Amino acid sequence: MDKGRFVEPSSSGQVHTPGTHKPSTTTPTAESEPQTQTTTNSPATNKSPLLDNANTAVNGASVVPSTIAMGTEVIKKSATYTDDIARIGQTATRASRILGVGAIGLTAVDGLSNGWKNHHTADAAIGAAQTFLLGSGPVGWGVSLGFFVTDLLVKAYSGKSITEHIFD
Amino acid sequence: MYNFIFWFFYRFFEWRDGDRSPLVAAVVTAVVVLFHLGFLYALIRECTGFSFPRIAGSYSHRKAVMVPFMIIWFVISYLYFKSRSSRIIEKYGDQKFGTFRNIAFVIVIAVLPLLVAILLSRKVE
Repeated sequence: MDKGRFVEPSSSGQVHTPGTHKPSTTTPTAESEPQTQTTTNSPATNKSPLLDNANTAVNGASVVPSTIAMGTEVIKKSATYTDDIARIGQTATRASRILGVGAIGLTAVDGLSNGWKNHHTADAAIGAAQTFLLGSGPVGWGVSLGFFVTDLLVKAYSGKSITEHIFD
Repeated sequence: MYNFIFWFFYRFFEWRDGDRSPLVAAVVTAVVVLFHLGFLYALIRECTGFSFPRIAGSYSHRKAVMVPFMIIWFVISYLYFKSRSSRIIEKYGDQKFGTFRNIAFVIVIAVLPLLVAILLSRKVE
């Protein structure tokens, strides 16, 4: 292999740069010989004058523009991921708000139609606190999810909710 | 009145979560409407003794039965406010939502009828 090579060709004779598979963006810097891009690792290819200046070009594909393009691609992807994470967070926050408000509505309807008990007051207060006071984010979601799961377990075990046990 | 409630909670959740969707505000408004209907029902029951048939079963079962109706109610409210949200928000402009007057108004509109309805419904067995 030639010394001073910046990027070495793979066994197929091509330089693989993730995200950029466009060998057409070539800016030859070597002598103006007719370029023949080959995908074989033949000795003739390795001895090409282009590869003598391999700091900037490999198999006719310039390294610097492809590196820049690769970096741009990585930045684009990470920005997209950040957007996705933000969107998921906002959707989760919105869903938790709707569920909280819905729980208050269900409690109110049940209490007003079947007679208001103390556990209705407790459920409405807990729902309001979860919805309006707890901040959006992992802490609020964790507290709400923890209470919801515990309530389900208590109901499955005893047939009554936590607030019914405590307040009735 | 309900437009004001919608605007108040739209601004509240925009301030709280940066959420500019009318969805949550429409859902809150739908629940406030339920409070008012419950208040009217409690008042009529108190005055005339009339009451609707109740859903049988435990507390959890009754709530589970009501979930589909609640979802439909929320969807109706969302569809109603979705097309009107920009007009409502424009109507109230950029005035601050968290003033004492606005909060007091929301408490009087949303919470007070619920409290009265609760007091009237405590006697029901």
